[in-house]
Amino acid sequence: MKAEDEEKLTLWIDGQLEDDQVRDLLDAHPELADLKKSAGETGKLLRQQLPLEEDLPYPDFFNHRIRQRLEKEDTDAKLPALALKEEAQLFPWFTRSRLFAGFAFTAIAIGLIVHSVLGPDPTGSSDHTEIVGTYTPNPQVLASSRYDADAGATIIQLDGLAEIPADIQISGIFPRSYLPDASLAATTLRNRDTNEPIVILENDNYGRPSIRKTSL
Amino acid sequence: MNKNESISSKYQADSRSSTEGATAGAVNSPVDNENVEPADETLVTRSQAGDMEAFDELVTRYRGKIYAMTVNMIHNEADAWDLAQDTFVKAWKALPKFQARSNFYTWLYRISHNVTYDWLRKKQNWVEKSEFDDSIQSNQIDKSAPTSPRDMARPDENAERMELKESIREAISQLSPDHRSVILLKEVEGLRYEEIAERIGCTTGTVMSRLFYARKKLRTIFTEQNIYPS
Repeated sequence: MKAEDEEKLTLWIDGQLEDDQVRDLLDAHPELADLKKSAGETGKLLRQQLPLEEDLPYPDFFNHRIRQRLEKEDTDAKLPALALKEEAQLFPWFTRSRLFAGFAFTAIAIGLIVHSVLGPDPTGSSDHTEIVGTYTPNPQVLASSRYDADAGATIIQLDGLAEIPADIQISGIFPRSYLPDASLAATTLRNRDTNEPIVILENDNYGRPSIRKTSL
Repeated sequence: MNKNESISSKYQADSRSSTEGATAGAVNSPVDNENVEPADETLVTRSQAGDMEAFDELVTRYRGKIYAMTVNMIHNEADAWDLAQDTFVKAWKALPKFQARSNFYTWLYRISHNVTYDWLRKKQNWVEKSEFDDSIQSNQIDKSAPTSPRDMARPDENAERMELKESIREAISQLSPDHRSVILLKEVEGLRYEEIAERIGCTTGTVMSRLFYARKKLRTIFTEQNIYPS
């Protein structure tokens, strides 16, 4: 049968051509006479039995898995580049801020805390973290700190950073100092889902911020 | 077009004069305002800017349709779940290239279509190369077989309906993937020839030709298996 005839018969089945308009084809192929009726019944059965939309099992987990996969692929794409440079250069991310997008900016921002002291104030007057100094490699970024009694936390505020993309999921910032040498401080960024360290930033022997470890 | 109008148009018979692309996208693209869900376009734009929450909403909005169509295509729920996942992951990656020439669901469906076809092709290659026959799937095992898992007891009517649904899916799985997709898009989604052609990337003539053969083949299978109501 020619393609043209198949198209005509399809139009006939769907009610867009009259019987007379395909009479010659029906005469030549009498086995097709009841195809219009059977196609109608077939279509009705399909519509009745096969849902257009169906509740899939574990719908929340479905979304969660997609998000996990996207985040993992995103991080996989970014972190190897970071890891390659981790020991080599001073502020390597700085010249590649576009490439590392928000993540590097986040890392830089938090890695600035190069002179922080954790634990009780030596004077014993308070029990909050005291930031004794900050350093920002990017002069456009200004760092300041203050203790918020209501929040019970010391807040480091960084003004001038690029917006961090919403798809970066970091559970928290874990600064840590190496007392008694307060100049050796480290900051750990952890994966929110696994709590595994993603990046550890610390000062090198010259007091410069550098990435010590990247992993997933 | 408002929501009610678009829903009523979804199930209308083919009408060559109806507006191109008016079906699926409009149904799922309510107008933006404070009390209504954001339109697809809004969510797509936000997703393209890296907003994963917006993309999550798109996933929630369309996962049921993508899943249902994939199950209908491959007749295997577990694999359909995975393939639906793959569809959305690929969609996220491709979003920067999406230019809204078609509506979002049409574009998404096309990705799903390609993902499903790739899977069917790989599976076919594997079956051809394998010495084992995996064509017998769990849902084809006689439920009365002593070692098969037993479903919860259910009313006879429900069981009959499930059996009919299963028979229809089994019948559809005997069609070629090309024929499967056009008959499902035509009869289940109620799309016009042009819309089907856009979804799967072929000509309208090809759609009509495939429909013709899919219907003929299904008539034969349904008749042999007494699927048509007496």
